[in-house]
Amino acid sequence: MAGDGMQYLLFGDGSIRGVSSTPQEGVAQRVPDGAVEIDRDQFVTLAEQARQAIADQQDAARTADVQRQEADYTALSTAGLPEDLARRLSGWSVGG
Amino acid sequence: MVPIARCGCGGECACNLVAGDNVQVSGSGTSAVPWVVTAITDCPEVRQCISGVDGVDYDPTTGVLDVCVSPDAGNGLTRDANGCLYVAGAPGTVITGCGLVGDGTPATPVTANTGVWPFTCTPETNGSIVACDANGQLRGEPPYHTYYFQSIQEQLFPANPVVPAADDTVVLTFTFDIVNPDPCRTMRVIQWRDLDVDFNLPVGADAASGISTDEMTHTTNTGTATVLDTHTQVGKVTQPNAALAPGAGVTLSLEAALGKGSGGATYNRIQGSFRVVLMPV
Repeated sequence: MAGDGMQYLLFGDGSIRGVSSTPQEGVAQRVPDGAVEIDRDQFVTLAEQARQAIADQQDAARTADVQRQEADYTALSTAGLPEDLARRLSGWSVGG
Repeated sequence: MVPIARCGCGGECACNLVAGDNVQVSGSGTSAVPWVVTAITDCPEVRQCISGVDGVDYDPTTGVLDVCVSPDAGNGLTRDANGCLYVAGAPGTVITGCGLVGDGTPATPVTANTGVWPFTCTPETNGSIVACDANGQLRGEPPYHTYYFQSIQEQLFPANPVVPAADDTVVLTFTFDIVNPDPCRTMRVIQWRDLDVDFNLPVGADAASGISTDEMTHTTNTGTATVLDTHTQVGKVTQPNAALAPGAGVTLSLEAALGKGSGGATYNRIQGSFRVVLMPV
């Protein structure tokens, strides 16, 4: 742990932890089981990668949501439901 | 030898009158020339008969008598400009400084200038202490200090793990080591800990979070689209240590517990924080 109270950790599951603590003279924060301490540059790089991975997963979820909502809307409309009701039930808002 | 006149007779008396040590005799014992016996002082001999006692200096060679004035520190007896004995201040008078009152007389002895104890508790068991340090200076009790520490910890999960179904499943533990920096006083440790979990909740999914076995949030997605990064920061105040000795340390911990995972609920970030105050016991 650096003297500025910062600690950067990498875990076996690929998760990363940043710790910002009040510096205390003679006190070192422990490294948790299953983790290794890394330096700030490594942490910054891994954090950028982690945030990008999370963003990609969420983009994929949004895309899947839109596809499912459109499919639901189409099915509901085909079944004869009014457009407003079909949109509300499916959550489909594109083109409305 | 001194000639001795005879009373009413002619001639001289056969008696002899001799002057001994330190005595001088003159005359013949007649009416016209009577004997005169004079004592003669022999100073060196007299000096040998005198001695000094406690408080008196005596020189048998010169015959000078003097009082003995102690050179020890703290002696109040001294000599004035004429060599006479002198004690500063009138007898029974003490000049006091700050914190002392009285003049040293039996009627008003010197005492500490104390205040009135205004509390219902007794000073014998509740009063603070005034002590004397190694330099002879009066000292009060050490000052009261409070201390504050904090630790903010954030963990990112790029693998986007699934929220466990079982309630209060501890998925990680944050720790924070602190030491009581006070050199004198034992401290009560009061901590605020909070937890903030970012969930991704597909339609119909459930997720809950809390600290240890205390579930504090529970969210269900009842909408028509995935809820991304939904999170709520919740916390509580606890006392992890009631009496942390000077220089002693303690490890604070925060167990992030998740549960009620269903419908594909995942999490990608957990933040925990410790905000700690140390107060004198």
